[in-house]
Amino acid sequence: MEKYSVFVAFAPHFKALARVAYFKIVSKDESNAKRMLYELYRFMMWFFILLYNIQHLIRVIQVRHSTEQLVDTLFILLTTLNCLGKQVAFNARSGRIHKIIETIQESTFAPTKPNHLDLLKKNAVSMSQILSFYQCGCLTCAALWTIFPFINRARGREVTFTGYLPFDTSVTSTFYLALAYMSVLITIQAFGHVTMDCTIVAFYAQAKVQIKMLRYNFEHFMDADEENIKIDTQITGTNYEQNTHKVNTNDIIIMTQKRLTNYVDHYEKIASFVKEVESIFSEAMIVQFFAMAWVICMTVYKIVSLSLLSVEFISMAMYLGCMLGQLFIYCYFGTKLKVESEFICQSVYCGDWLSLSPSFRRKLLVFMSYCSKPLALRTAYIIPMCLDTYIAVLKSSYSLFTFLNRN
Amino acid sequence: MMTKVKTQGLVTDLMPNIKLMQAAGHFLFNYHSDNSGMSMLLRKVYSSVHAVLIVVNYVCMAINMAQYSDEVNELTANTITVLFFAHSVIKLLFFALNSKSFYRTLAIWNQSNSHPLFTESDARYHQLALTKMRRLLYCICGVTVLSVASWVTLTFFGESVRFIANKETNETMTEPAPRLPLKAWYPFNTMSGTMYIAAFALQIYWLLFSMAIANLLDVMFCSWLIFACEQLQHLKAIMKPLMELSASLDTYRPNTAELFRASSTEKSEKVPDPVDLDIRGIYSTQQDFGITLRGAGGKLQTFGQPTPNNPNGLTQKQEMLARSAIKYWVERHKHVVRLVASIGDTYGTALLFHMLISTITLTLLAYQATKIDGVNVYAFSTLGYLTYTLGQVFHFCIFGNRLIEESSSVMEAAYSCQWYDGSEEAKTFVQIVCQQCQKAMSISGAKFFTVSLDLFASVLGAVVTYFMVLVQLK
Repeated sequence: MEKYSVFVAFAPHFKALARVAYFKIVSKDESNAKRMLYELYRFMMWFFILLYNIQHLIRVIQVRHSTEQLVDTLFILLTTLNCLGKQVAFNARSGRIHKIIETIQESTFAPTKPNHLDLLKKNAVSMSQILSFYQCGCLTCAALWTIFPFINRARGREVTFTGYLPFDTSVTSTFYLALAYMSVLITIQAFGHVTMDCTIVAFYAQAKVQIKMLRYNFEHFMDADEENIKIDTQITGTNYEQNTHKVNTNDIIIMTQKRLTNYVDHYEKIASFVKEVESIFSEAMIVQFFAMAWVICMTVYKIVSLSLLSVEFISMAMYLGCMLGQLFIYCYFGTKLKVESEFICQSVYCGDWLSLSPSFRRKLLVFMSYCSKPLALRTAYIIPMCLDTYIAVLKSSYSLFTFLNRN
Repeated sequence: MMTKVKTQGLVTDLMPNIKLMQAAGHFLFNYHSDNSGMSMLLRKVYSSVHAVLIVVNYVCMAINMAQYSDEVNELTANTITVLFFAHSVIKLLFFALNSKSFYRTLAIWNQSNSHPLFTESDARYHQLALTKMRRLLYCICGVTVLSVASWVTLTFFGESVRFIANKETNETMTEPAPRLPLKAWYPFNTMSGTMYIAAFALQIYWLLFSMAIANLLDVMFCSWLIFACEQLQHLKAIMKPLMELSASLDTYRPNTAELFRASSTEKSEKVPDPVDLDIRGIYSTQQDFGITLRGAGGKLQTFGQPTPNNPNGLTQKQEMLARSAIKYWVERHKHVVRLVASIGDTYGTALLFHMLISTITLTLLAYQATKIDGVNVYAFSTLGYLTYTLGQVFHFCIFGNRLIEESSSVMEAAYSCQWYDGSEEAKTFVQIVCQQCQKAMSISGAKFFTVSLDLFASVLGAVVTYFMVLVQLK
């Protein structure tokens, strides 16, 4: 069986994160000069992002009496704060993230059967597809966000920037400077945000694939594999032809015991992996949830007063769509993980336990009772990250919209 | 020469349904006796013609909806009709794209295991399933024909008008429209004459076939669920005789009289029976009897000499029979689990689309229902739409719910038999089955929701809530 690194599914994500200096996997064989340069790059990124956020914060305080402008600024500020929350999680807990990356590359998570290889490859492909899709989407949105002030200025309308700028932007040169500064920073933040989301989702998807592999192992619990024949030939080395198909009872017991130990260990590692990922990003998820709830309320409030098919309506609707799309991948993969872990018990049942002794069946039973509790992800300990939550969010936004529309 | 097509398993049971689906124009090209190129081509042409007609008429209805979208009432009514028939178009497309998955589910029950002790019970429950499936098919076919008949009848009552918004005075006016069952845009004038009759005939055909397309697919799904439920009933029924049979596998029978004798004088613990020690010795040396290894060609390790303390003195043959009965039970249960998983994979997405469209339709219908002001055509048509849509949702929710209940009640059946008299093998078998049945088998709509009566109750509750709120706001 070919050697396949499980980390392949995450490679494009971490490459993209390193490009925008959000997170970098430190490799030991890098020269000092390169590292210094990268550290400088990271420092500059952090500085500009914080500056951007502070500018918007100042403006919020400035325009707190005008609802329209306040809402405009808050849109940007909440999104960037959301992004900042995740960035802080990635950087403050980089040690723990390095540890879980090491766990992924351990032998417990490595594929041992051709079916495992297929599952892992399919997962890697779908993860990179999702990443590219979201990256394209965010770059399109950022491009549109850059073009709108251009068009508005060309039409002669006044363009106000959403961040506090100490100089006057009506002069052409300063306008272009300000526009370039704002759009570059928001593009970088959007790109980083989307990549971080896809990375977190990739962790969940990896847990799901590992559970799928575990389920396959249990369904084929009593299948012979190459190892078994190897044990056979070792013991009866001299009369290989005679004894290839006769399997010694003792070896079966050792083999089944070893398999069960491995599989139980595998499940333990998956469960602790999921818990660790959940705890690393717990605060970032809370920030995301609140920011999203606020943004949905504001967007719905604003959309109600706009007519259909105006440019503003389309940009608002697109923004709302992006927010809901971001929440969707979290909820979808959270549900997939939960559903997959609910079927482990069934997979143990579908294996050939009938041919095992009652004492061994009791060992399987202990495992089945333990697995009956699914691996459900939660935000802030109370909000489950599953599609029910997503539908509840959609329902409440729609009710809010209907209610405001009637008024 | 028409030879009888050789079918087995689910296909034989569902043959009437399959034939009706083929007649209605679904892209179902398997299960014919004559598979020559010419007849295949004819069937494909037949299905394509139906598909084209259905889609074209649907598009005409959509065009009509877009044409008269100024007036709110007209728009709402047209939207409801368009959404109502979206089910048929989606199901037609869904089947065409997913037919391999359907064939796979239909082929799952082609080979099923059997056991001499349980063939009678198997046949009985299979017959029950068949009766229920047939009854369901006739019922739904009757409902479809009745709906089409009442729709056409209702067309002849009331005014044949459509609402137009007068742009100057902002009032609603009425404009005469053709007296047809469905409001659609046709490139020819359908007010009167031969074109009117042609359009009428087309619409009757269209109504019948599109409703049949949607309903027959739902009936197939529900028939699968009926089959799975009856299999579970069969398994529950044979649990008791199975446990009684496996009680003969018992290698240790405690002397129950000794155990429960009230001893007032002896305060110390009961001294272990010397028989126990012997049995324990046998267990450990026999090295967990009866392990088989698939693929390595290992043979079932036999008991060898019969245990000296087997109280019933059964022969090896009888013990093998008991063990094979348990094996039959477990393999049949696993087969049902596989069937249900396959049904969920095949039809889950279609259920998701159905619920999505039904939710929007019911919301609009709740709004329409607030405008009912008397016993007239409007009231009948709104109530008709409402009952039909809710009926469709109820149809698959009730069978999904039955599956959930049946699969979790297997545990009760396992408990209610005399498991305490069974052997170690039988007891661990009961334990594992109970553990597995704690998670009920259910069908989910692509993981968004579970198909059960809870879903129906929530949908009905939402409709009633919307209706009450809208009535209050008027």
